[in-house]
Amino acid sequence: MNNFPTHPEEAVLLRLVDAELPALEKRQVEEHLEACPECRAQVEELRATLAECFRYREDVLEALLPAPPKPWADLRAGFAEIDRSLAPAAREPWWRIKPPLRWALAAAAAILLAVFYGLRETPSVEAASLLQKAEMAASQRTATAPRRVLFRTRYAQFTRVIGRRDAMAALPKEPAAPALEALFQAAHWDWNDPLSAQAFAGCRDSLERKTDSVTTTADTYQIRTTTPEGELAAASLTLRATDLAPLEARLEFRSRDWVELSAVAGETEDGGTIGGTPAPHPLEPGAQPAAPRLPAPAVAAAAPPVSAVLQVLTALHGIGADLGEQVEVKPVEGRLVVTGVGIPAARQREIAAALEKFPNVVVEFSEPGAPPVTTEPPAAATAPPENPGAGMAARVERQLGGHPQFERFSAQMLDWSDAAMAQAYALRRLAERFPASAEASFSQADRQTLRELARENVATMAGITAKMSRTLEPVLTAMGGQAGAGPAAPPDAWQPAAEDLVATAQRVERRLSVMLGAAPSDGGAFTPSDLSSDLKLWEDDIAICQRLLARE
Amino acid sequence: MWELLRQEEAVDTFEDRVAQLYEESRNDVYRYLLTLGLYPARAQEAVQEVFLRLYSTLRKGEAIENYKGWIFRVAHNHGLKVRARQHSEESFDPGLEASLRSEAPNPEHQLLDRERQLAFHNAVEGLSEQQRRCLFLRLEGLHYPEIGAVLGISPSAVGEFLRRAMMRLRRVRSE
Repeated sequence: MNNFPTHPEEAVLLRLVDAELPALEKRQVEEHLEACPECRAQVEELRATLAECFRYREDVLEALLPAPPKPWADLRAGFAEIDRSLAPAAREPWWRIKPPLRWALAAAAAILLAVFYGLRETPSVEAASLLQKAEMAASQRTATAPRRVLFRTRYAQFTRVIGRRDAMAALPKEPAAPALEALFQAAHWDWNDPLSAQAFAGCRDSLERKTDSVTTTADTYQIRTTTPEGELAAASLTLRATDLAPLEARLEFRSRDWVELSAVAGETEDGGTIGGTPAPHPLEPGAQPAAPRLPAPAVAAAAPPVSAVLQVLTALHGIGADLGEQVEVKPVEGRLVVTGVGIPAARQREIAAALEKFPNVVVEFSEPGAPPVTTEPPAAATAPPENPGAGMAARVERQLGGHPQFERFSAQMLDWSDAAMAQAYALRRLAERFPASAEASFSQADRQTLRELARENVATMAGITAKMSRTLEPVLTAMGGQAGAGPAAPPDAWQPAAEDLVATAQRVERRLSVMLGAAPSDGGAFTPSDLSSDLKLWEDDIAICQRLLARE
Repeated sequence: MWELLRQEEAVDTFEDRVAQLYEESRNDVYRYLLTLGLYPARAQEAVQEVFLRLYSTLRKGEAIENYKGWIFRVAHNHGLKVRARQHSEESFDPGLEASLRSEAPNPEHQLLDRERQLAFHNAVEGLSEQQRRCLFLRLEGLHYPEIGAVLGISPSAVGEFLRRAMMRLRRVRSE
């Protein structure tokens, strides 16, 4: 079946040429190509251009860029230096220290060495050593003291009392538990004492192939083990640095399901709170066994307050993560879940760090299993091959006085347009999330935070569009362009105004790209006057938004 | 005893692995840093620094899934810092256009070829900063998600920058 009855977009063809299409989509595009000489020609053209790029790399960059001024250094000396710096520091030779202090230091060093021995080891040795110590520490704690462990999965949340069999038997049966128990058993993870070094070690020891890593913070050690075999893809265990007590564990399954276990602090160990005691977070209602594992069930969870959502959005805005990236903030079961697909690892860390201070926020990133989706709706539908924009590009080029000028001009315009669109989309997301009706019920402070976020988007966009306008208008005017009338009836709230603004911005972006030859025409003819009017309209929309955002 | 031996083996493996990567890709990373605007001596130092960091990271037990992506990401970020610290306000300009013009004609580079190269070079220079970065990283063999990780943008944005770059370069070819 030909899944591309119309021509695939050029971006798709380029991804085919670049071997970036997932298998299914690749097959579909190839099927289309078999039947479509136009697209085949386009693909050939892209291949030839890419080949020319590689020739450029070889003939120009490799051949003409200056060679390194010195011979390349041997880095092994540097490696040795790093090895030394990672080993425990030794400043004063021990024999120069006076005897009483010497023995005291020796004793202290022996203890330190025992505790931190693993930390200078390779990760697997380090992990094994830490686990061993944690197991030993656990065996020295009161073995029978019951404690509560909070289980979280994508679909459910419940607490279990660990360490008292009679109490466990008395618990109402949690609907998600049997399935989880089976998963745990398959992973050789002790279901009876799941949040423990011993459970982690049992699972880890059962793996033939595994990779360990140990992360140390001021308060915790985290051991993470990944494996290519079995259902369980990765597991991590966080231990408190002071006594190696397990604080959290996370199991990640290859099916993309996950389970998080965390110690519930502050519970008494007298067993008096066992049973129907509410967990610190709302529980999956046990009274609804019919739908135990459906996504995001509507539980009677208090939704996070608007102020919490706004604070998270402000933090994301602070690192520019509200622009163009697929980062979403959703309330789920009383928490705020920040999700993202295909976010680069470094960026994920930045985002997680920016949100670290919020206790009730969970950050979950996933890798794109499917092809990366464009961040925002594509500007134009698939176009017929003829490109009326080409004539216009030639006119712009003549107007500017030559090809190099045109290239510079179009690069700058398209960059500005990209940057302004990112702000426009960020504004629209705010408007969609907090419609005027919802905003009306906000506290004064929340409203101010929201408006501040929106105002910043609009102000940045205004700065960019002003530059675009200054640069583009003279060219358009010389080509006979003339701005038309402004919008007829401005809306009375900033949210619908933002919608209008985005629609105008998209039109400008599309037409600009066509005019500069950076995108195929979508078939709709337009004149320099049309683009000029759109640009003017965009600026008007911005002014309207600014006015409405300033209004109380 | 065995643990100690295994530990030594692991260290040797890291050393060998990083030394081999350094051997294989230092020139590519060096060129990338020149195109980023670093002066040659700085770029060379930066390359060495990147590989030392790689070794240090591995020794600390951090897992690196994709060495090439990691190397270029760290090189890019480090390169930007070095560039910001360069005494001269100006970024390094390798003067490729002048080199292309003054290059002594040889049988392999006919006049026509050189004209073509010049036109192509000017088109590459005319790309936006992001488009050029995406293109250069693509030419180093990085995939879209890796390029995205280097530049801190999404893979779909990489695709769009590359598409625009290709549109422009294609025009030069067909002229």
